[in-house]
This record gives sequence, structure tokens and C-alpha cells, in this order.
Amino acid sequence: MGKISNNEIANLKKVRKVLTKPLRTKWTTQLKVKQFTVELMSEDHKYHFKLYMRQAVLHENNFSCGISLIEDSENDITLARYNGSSHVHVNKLDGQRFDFQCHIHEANADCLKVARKIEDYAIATERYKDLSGAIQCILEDYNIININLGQLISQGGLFDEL
Amino acid sequence: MNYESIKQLLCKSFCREIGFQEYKDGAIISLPIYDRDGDAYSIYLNETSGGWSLSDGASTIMRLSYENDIDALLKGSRFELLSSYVKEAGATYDDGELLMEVAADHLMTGLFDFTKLMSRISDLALLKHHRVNSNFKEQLKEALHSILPKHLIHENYIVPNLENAQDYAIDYKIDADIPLFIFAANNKESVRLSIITIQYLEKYNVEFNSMVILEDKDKIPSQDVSRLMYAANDIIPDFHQIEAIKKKIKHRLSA
Repeated sequence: MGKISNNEIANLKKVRKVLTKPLRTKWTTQLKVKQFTVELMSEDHKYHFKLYMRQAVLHENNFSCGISLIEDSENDITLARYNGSSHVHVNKLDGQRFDFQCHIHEANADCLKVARKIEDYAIATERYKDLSGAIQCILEDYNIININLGQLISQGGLFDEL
Repeated sequence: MNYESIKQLLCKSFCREIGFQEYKDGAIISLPIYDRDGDAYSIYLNETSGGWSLSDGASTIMRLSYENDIDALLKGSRFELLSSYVKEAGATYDDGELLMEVAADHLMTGLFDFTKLMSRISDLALLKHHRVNSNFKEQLKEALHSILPKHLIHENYIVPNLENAQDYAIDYKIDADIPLFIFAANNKESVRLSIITIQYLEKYNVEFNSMVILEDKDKIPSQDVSRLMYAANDIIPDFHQIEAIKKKIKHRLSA
């Protein structure tokens, strides 16, 4: 896809997404990070996505749930990342700063004029306070239609240890 | 110009931009230095008997895992770089977590050193392509020169009197009764090029033995590895296996 426009980003956000295969993935813990990744595709099979969830074992507010467009193994494009409140964020585009607040990074083509990552722009949010809330938000916002929190719990036992 | 006022301005703006939050076991601090996505590097600070303990809470590796397969990323030359950065900073790496002990009166420099360490490790993801390729080739060259006399090694060898030979350059030719052609490969494209070159040379009845040294077999699709096994005389699955390279080269040279 190369350069991506904001219209394309908006389209990728709203396109209905489904699992590429039945959900059998389990949560794993590696290097003090709980992690879970599944592949999604648009219903018309035109686009493939990676949905990932991470949470540091040491600090439960250090979590992230993101979705990327899979281009090839080296060039995925992050569409969004729903972060916890473990750090400060500063937008290069408008200078907004969030101190230890949950925030949502969203791809914005304008970022690449001033920043090194397309998802540099973020907005603070109070829609969620923890990882399960962030997952619920990303499932809704990115139109992921055949996966839900209940499945995640029964498949992976995610929240048993959180 | 009142330069003293510049210093005061810098001090004030620097202090204003320091991130600080207390948490149950200590405090989280971040300096006004940001990762490539605009997120600051959080440092978890705890008081110890002699000073301070700094930790990244395993967040550096966690951030790398968003876009990278951590198993593949933290292998070979990149893990060596990570280890050297950690050592240089006087820190430790504990199963994904970066840690550093700082004397009571060295907190400021410790925070800067630790932030620098997190930033350097974050940038390891940028070394996926050209730098690692170059590191691999350089390290392999170094390994070959440690095994063999320099006069026996010919880098980027072009087979003489062969049609289009310049399109089928050999990474290293080692002089022997039957010359040994060594190919270095660190991705599927370079594996395929090695196979094509070997098959081209065989088609023109060039007499040689072949050895393909892989940076990491696990990073190569299994189909390409299978094809390579048919084409090459010897394969080294991981170029760090210097003893195996030495043994196989000596075996070929003495044959």
C-alpha cells in the first residue's frame, strides 16, 4: 500500500473484521509480558490485520491493545493502540501531553510530516481503565464482529491471573 | 544577552516536562525523552539501602513486541547488541526486565543513562534490515579469517571464463584442490540466490564444493531450507557455530 491516506485509514477502521480461523490461541507469558495475538481479515478477504494484547506482569496498568494492517512481515501499519496509564505521552502534531492517563494512539497520515511513527497522535480517554476495557473498546471501534471478551476469557483464561 | 536566564529557562522547562507519579512501591519517573511513537520512557524507581533501584518494568521489550516477533528479534547479533548496551550502561537484563542500581547521589545521571539504554534497545527494531545484514557479513568474514590463512580466502569471487559470471558472484572462495565456495545467507532471498548460483555453476560444470552459512535457519521458510539441502554440500544453520564451520571447512579442504 505504501503511503496511506487518512481516507484509507478511516476505511480500514470501519471495515468489518473477522477471525481468519477459529479462536484457539492461548495467552502466554514471555519475558514478563502477558501476550495474545490473533489474525483478522476483512469480510471480503481483501485486508489482513493483527490484533494484539500485551500486559506487563509487574505493573497491571502497563498494558496495550493494538491493531495493525498486515502488509508484509516487515511493513505492518499500526492503525491503533489502546494504551494504559503507565507513561507520559506527547503528541508531535499538536503538542498535547497526557501524564499517566489511558490514551488511544490512532494512525494519522499527517503524523509522518512531523513524527517517526504514523500512530504518534493520541487522544486521552476515560472510556477504559484496564486491559479488558481497552479490548472491549477496540473490538467495538474497529468493527471486529466475531470475537468478544467472553471468548477471550474462555479460550485463554486471560483474566484469571489479572 | 543574559545567558543565566537561558539556564533558568531550561531548568524550568526541563522540570515541567519530567513525568512523575507515585505508585504503591515507589515512583514512576520519565525524562522528556520520547520513543518513536511519542510515548515517554517510564522508569520505576525504588529506594534501596545504598541508593536507588531503577527498572523499566519490562516495558521496553513489551513495546518491541507490538511490531516484532521477540524470539526472532532478540537473537544472534541483535541480542549481542542488547547485551553490550546493557553492560555498557552498568545495568542488568533479567528475563525481559532492565534493571540498574544507582548510588544515592547519582540519581540524575542514572536516570539519563537508563533512559538512554531503553532508547537504544527500542531502536534494535530498526536494525532488522541493513545493519544486521552488514553485521552478519562482517562477523562471518571475521570468523573465516580466524579459521583460515588470509591468502586462501577470496571475497566476492567471480568464476573466470564463465558466461555472465558477474551475475553469480560467490561470497567467499576458499582455495583447495577442489575449491570451496561459501555463501552467506540471512533471508529467503539470499538463500534462493545461493541455490540459483550453485545450480548455475553446476550447469556449466564448474568444479567446486559448496557451503551455505545461514545467520539463523529458523528465520528461513522451511521450503527454502529443503531446497537448499538438495543444492548445497554443507549447510551451517547458525553462523555463531564457529566450531562447526571450522570442522566442515577443514573436512572439505582435506578431502
